[in-house]
Amino acid sequence: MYFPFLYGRRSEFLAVRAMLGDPRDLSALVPVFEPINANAADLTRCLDECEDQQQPSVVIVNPTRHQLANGANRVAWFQTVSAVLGRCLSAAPAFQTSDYTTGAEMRAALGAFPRRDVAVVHSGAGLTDADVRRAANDGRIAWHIVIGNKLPDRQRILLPAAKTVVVRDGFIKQVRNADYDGQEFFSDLYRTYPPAAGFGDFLCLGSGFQDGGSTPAAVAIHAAYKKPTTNDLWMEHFISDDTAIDVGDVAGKFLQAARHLVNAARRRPGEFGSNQALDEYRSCVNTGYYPGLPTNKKYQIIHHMCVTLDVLSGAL
Amino acid sequence: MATAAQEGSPRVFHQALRAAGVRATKDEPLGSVLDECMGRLQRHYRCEYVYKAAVADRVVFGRHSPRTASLHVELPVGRSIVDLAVFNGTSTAYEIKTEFDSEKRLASQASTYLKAFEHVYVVCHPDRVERCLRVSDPAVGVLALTRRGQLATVRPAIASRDRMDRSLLFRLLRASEYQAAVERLCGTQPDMPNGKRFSHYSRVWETLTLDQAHQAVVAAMRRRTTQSSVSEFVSALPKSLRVLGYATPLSAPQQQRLLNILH
Repeated sequence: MYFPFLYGRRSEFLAVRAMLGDPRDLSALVPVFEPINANAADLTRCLDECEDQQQPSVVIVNPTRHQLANGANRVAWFQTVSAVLGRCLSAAPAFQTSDYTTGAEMRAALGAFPRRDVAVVHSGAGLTDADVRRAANDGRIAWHIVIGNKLPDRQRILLPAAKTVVVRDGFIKQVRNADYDGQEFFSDLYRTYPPAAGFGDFLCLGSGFQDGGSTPAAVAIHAAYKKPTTNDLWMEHFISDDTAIDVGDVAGKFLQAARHLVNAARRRPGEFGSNQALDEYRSCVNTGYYPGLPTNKKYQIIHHMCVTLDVLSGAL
Repeated sequence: MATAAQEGSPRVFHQALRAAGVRATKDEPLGSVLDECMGRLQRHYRCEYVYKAAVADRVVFGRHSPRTASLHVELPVGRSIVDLAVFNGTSTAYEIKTEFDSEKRLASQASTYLKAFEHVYVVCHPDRVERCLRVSDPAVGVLALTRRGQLATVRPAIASRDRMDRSLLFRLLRASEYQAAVERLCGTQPDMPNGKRFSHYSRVWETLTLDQAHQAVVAAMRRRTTQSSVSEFVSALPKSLRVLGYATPLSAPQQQRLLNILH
């Protein structure tokens, strides 16, 4: 099972919604959403569409980032999302731990969603060993999603392997797009995750949440591929030729980067596979159309999920 | 300011005033309290904002009018960002060097601005005048902000369009602005996918004379902030907030909410 960890920005939701129309078998896909916006409209629409197709997902119900760092926003958001989760049973409400979490907090939060599968996202070491043991024996908790090495190893081994999901951030973030270079190892978790039940990553976005940003000097497309010599997942960075802020425009730079990706995918189909995102990039290059940076991000997310599902299923 | 306008509440202003140790009474309009704070800054701590406010006050609201002169705050020009730019019948860049700043980058900043503006000024502390005169190109004018908050001309700027760089001028414009300018000056252009528009229009732009290119930029930049929705709003702000008013894009309801808080 593959658990891509997504921050709840519009491009992430749009990517998941686009995946719902993909011909691939999505039974191994379980997107994990950490909402960040006070307005839950995009999340709601995404969860409703997932529900229509019985697509499982995980939604963190105690988010603390960005607009939801504000307590008042969080209260209003929770009211809306509780109602949505009430009708979307394919989504598992999840409690995210931190270094300061208490077991009582976790049980109270998950108690708001009785008689259904829930999940715990282990992002900290706040729980006691007894809390973790109790959670491990709680039949309602379908998934224990462990982020990197945030959970102490002595507690991780208390969790039932059949419910544990290992999430690692294989993406090495650079300060500037122009600093990305060539290819680098991303992950081999897709074949090493057993005996855990599943694995996850932060796709080509990285685990550090960053809001917005100014006009980039260079445009980057980060595309996962299967390295033929090792069968590991690698990341190739396709960067625009123009990398200075005072040269060209973002639209032209996007097309430069997209052209590099399209050429690579054409030359190495056995590594990048074929999917709707690559089709979109090809169409942009052929027509000179610039879809905007959020859509560029959406395409990268789609490509990443498709490649990961393909290596997992053996299609790639 | 954006938060106050969104919330329609003076909460963030009061928070900042409290943090600065300023006591505001309920009877006194918030705008007056902020103007008084600005006066204190002018007397005791002349940071960059004091200089910006002085230029806005003396140039845009003094010599000209916000209905005809357009003020731009922190405008990217090439690889630099000019502190203030004013577009009326001409273009003027103001680079601020307070007593807390270094003049290290002034020469390279000014040389970029000379390629995009007809007039370029450095606005500095009276104690820094000699250094600014020495470091900057002779075409760059020097203004000193006096103790009384006036702008004294130490050296006038030498105006010229011949030194301008078409490509730098082009990059000041938004896509809709350069498309309109090129179509007006060079005729209808072929339909173009959005990913190729910039390169097409920048090529055509290179055929304009420097006068045409400069005038097109001045006209477009003027239009951005001299429309009544902006000029009436910034005119209604207390003096101390006018620069921030130019720098903070707000919707009409947000503008109104902010004015209600301040007056």
